[in-house]
Amino acid sequence: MEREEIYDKEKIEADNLMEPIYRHDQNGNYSLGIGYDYLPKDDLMCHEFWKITNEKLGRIRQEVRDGKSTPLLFFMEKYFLDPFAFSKFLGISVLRLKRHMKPSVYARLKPHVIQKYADALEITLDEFIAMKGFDA
Amino acid sequence: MIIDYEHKHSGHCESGATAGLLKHNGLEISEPMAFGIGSGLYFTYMPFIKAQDAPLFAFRIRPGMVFRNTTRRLNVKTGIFKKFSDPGKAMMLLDDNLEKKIPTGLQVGMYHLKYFPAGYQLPYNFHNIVVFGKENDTYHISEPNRETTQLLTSEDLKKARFARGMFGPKGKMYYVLEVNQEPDYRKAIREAIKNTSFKMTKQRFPFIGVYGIKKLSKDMKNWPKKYPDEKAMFYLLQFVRSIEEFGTGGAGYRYMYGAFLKEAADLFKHDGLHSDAFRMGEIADLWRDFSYRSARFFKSRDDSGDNFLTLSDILMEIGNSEEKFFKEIGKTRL
Repeated sequence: MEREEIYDKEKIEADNLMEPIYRHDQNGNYSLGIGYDYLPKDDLMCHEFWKITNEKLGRIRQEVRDGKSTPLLFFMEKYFLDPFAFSKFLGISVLRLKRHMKPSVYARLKPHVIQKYADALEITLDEFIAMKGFDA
Repeated sequence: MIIDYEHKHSGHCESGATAGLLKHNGLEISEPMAFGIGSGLYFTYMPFIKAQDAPLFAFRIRPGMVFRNTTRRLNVKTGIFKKFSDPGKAMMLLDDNLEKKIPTGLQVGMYHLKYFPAGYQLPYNFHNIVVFGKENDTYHISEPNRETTQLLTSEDLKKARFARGMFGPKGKMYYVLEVNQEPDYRKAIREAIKNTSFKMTKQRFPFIGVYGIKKLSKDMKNWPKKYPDEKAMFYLLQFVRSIEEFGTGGAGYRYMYGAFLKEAADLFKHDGLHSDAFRMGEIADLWRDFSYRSARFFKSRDDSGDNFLTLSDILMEIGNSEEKFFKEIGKTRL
């Protein structure tokens, strides 16, 4: 089969994503090679994955600006977490997180509470409010 | 204080760390060997647990088990600290180890490892690194996923060791104290192969082992009916990513296991294992073919060539051949 059509070697080398891969040949010998010449690895699928993720994040960012959502939801989606895991990551209870994710409640939060969330994510308050994604 | 530790770029973080730590203590062991003796191969499909917006797929056993199994089977004396309540004490014990010239493996959260690109900095708490030196406030780190060694400040390392989130590492550290210079490889490998065979075929629970592969194959047929188009495609995408990207590259650890079987066959001049290694490679080729065809389907979005039905048939074929393979390999006489 023509594997080249979905494989873009130069881009992978440029991104420095090389990894050791064990290979198998006709005689049953295994060898260790560096690179991605096998598969759609990190090329198509990974590329598509980040495209879908970035689209999703862009959509949520727009919703936040329209006042329908909050940055907390954005960061939860950014790190692929559910409310329970994200509340553990922030160090608060899941009920509190769900409440703070409502736009009406988030709008009334005091700055030091939002600062606490930004600190837990290890970003500045500006980055938290601007909702920095993977693409930016 | 920097220990003379040989860094090696490896396919899988935990096997790489285990092999590196054993090698430092004088037991020459390759990465596939560590993976195989640790019975690292597995399959899990958990539709009720969501990871990255898709069901959880895993091709390896629980984190931490590769090191434990390998060292136990090779009679290696180790020190393992499972968890700390006090970060300061955890860092102090690490410094003590480095003073005694013991390179130490750590379980860390990837979110705080600043040397990774942004796409890797996710709250994933099962990563393994080896610390082999400290200068002033900077730790020298042998990162199995990177070609060169890395530096990390003590503040960042502390955060990574006590990363929050699900299944936090809680400062877990492990190291090798004393190796048995002439271990009984025959016994260890026999035990390891039997264990892998047991876990893949004898645990009759529909989500794990070869039954997990078959269950996934059946479920995959229903994805286009059950979910909207985008979601079904995203599940397929995540599955292919888990075959090709997470941990080692290329057909989800199967090549690495084949390399282990090949090495064992060469060690004992065992014909049966030679042909087993070859068959494992063929099964890995099937996995690779699956991800290749999925990628092509994903790119073209054309049902006429490959679609969910044909892909699920390939998966069923893989499940059947793996079942046969692991049942037979469990009966290998060594």
